Amino acid sequence: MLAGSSHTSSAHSDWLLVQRTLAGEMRAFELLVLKYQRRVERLIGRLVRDPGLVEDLAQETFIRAYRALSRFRGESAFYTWLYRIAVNTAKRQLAELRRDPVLSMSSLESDDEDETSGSVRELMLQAIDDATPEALLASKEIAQAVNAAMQALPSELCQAITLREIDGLSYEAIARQLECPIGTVRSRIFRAREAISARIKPLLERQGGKRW
Amino acid sequence: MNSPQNLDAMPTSLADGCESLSALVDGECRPEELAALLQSGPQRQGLDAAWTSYQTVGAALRQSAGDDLLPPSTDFVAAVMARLATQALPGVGEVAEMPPQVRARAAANDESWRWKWVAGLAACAAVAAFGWQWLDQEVVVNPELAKSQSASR
Repeated sequence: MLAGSSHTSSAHSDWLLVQRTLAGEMRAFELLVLKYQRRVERLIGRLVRDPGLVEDLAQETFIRAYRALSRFRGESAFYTWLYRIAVNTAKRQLAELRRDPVLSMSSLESDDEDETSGSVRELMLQAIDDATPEALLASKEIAQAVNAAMQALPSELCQAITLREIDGLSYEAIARQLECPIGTVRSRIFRAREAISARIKPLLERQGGKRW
Repeated sequence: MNSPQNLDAMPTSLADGCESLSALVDGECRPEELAALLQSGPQRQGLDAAWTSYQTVGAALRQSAGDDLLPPSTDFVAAVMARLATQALPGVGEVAEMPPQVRARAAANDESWRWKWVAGLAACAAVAAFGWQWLDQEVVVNPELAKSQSASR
């Protein structure tokens, strides 16, 4: 299993969106906000108690990220860079407001912290444990719906999406393994995603409010 | 191969956009596809939903730490984008230059354009006149200087 490859492709996708944002296309940044909003909120939610403040700080995180975007060099993954901004934004705000953080701030002092190591990873894992019962139930329902949809997929679609999402293979590698053209791989993965999306759409709509 | 039900009901342009989005999720989107994706106004809502859904599917299959499966709030995204709409992104000016033909057309339509021309021509004429006068004086003054120098020797 190539666990890192999935992250690499996600990082490449983020890099493309950052470049388009820097070229003046705000829509690209909107896709990044859509992608990372929940993660950033969960991270900040570990540092402050007030839900209203969590949302404000998450917004501020994206604003700061946008302003600093030209300094993002792609040396780390975009989400790692973003999480660092989120933590720093929360720390600065806490210092100003003199509020009591849920976690000891001393565990976040390291400058080279990132999502995949040390204190921030700990935060992320604790965020899962601390999710509200409603959020846990909703996430569980969505996961079950995804699994059920996977089992109902035609085998060629199931193979393609598994090789992509779980094994983290590139389209080219999947094409070699399945002995089919890259275009077919791309189409199968898309169709698999759409089939699964159809199953989870009602659940996402229930959770997401207005649009979904 | 049977199409998923929602794909059958989807307009072709949205289906194409969603396929490009799916490739973008995997970092396999071609530049021209990405450019088209980012300009797809009428399909925006459907594409946002697909983007969120594809991310959720991936997170659920990988069961990644930190990936809760709840969708983002559209109000939140709208609020961030509204705040950003009033701000200039540092560095954007240098990247996104106006194409020359658009720049020329904009200039031609500018009301002050003719006055700028007149002012420019007037400035050029003034410089030329001043330069001519100065050269004229040089011609008159220099022979006398030459004469006085040769006399002193």
